[in-house]
Amino acid sequence: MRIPIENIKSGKPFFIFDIIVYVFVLALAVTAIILIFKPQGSYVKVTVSGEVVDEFDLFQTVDKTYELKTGKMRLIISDGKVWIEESTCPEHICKHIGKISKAGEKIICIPNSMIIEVTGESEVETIT
Amino acid sequence: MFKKILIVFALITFTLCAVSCGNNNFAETSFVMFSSDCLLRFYGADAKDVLRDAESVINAIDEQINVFNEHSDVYKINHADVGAAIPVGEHTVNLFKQSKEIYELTDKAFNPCMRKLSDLWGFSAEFSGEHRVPTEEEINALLPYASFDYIVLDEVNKTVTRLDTRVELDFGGIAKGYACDKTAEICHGRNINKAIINLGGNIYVIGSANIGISKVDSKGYFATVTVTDMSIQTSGDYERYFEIDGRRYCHILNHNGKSVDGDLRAVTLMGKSSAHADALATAVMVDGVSAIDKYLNNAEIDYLMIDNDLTCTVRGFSGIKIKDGAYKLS
Repeated sequence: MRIPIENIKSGKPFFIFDIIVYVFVLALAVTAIILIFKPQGSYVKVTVSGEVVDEFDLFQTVDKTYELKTGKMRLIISDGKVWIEESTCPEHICKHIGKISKAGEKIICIPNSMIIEVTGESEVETIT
Repeated sequence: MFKKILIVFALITFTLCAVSCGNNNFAETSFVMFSSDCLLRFYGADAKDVLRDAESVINAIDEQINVFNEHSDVYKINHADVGAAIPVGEHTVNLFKQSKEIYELTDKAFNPCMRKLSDLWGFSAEFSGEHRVPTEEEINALLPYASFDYIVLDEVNKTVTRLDTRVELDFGGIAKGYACDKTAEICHGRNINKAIINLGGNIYVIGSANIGISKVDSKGYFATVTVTDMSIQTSGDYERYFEIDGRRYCHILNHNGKSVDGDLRAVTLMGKSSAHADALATAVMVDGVSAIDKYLNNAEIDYLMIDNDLTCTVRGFSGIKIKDGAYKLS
């Protein structure tokens, strides 16, 4: 196969294949740049019935069970991820969501009216 | 021509990525130490190595001064016979000296010799026993011995000797600050362009970061302040306490061996030395606003004191933003 640059010089047409490869390479490069500057999830906000009941740093270790009127929820934060380990709700949808860690991700438990949200670019990096 | 430009562009981008990956290198960990939540976050090419070294030093400090660890220097000192010279490590020596300096500066408002009195109240992070209000007799039996008159350091031989069994040491009021300082020291001279060190609320920032100041009666923060190449720490009546008959007893003991019940809810101090500020914060909670004239004015430190009305008396803390209307700057 004649290399593409020689094709250009000799006036022959592009191979479609060449275009695909170059676009792929470009896309990889751009993605790499974006990933480096992506906002870090850094804060976990826990709301029950719309009221903020807890705020944690995403990089601390937490194992907390909330005893609510509607049931129990066990929240764990470890290694920069947060998830629901145990819940008394009927469908366990909140547990099946699994571990979240990126800014904007949420776990919602409708029966217990609880929302766990990872917020990124928190206003503060940590608290004294 | 177009293709050549594309190739060159892609190559440049990859190179830039590789270079900035090195500079944005980031390592962090969280753990429990000194009975508190700790967080280390480092940015820079040496991030992973510095993290490892920091964890090493923090562990070494804990091993020497942990009152519950029977192999620690402090445990051995606290269980030693009168007159027995206990060999101690460098961190114990440093903490002893730094504590004694501040004990003298604050006229014993900061007193690391009060451990036996703390135990009377049941104030101990890992104590699973009862919280109680001790009697005057119990306090008076121990109070005169809560003093560096009864516990001495031989700096040359690196030993500590108890002169009475009624005194016990506890560096809890300064250890986190000391560990912060030691961790920050590790970063200097390495490729670290930013670091957040948070050991149980004792924070050291290398570079610049927005730090929140805890509310006194609920979770979260009531104010934010930008901290640059400095430490910031808070002491409050809400950190460890118990309530009996509607009255709160907090873990900070005053000169009379009793729970502080004064004019301040909390104090936040900012300064170059975290150990210095950590110990001073305890002293300020004991002395209240009188600390300003006694020793705070002369210390190179910014302070924020919160009184019972949530009014804040401040020196420095420029750029502080109050987020909760219940708190006011005086």
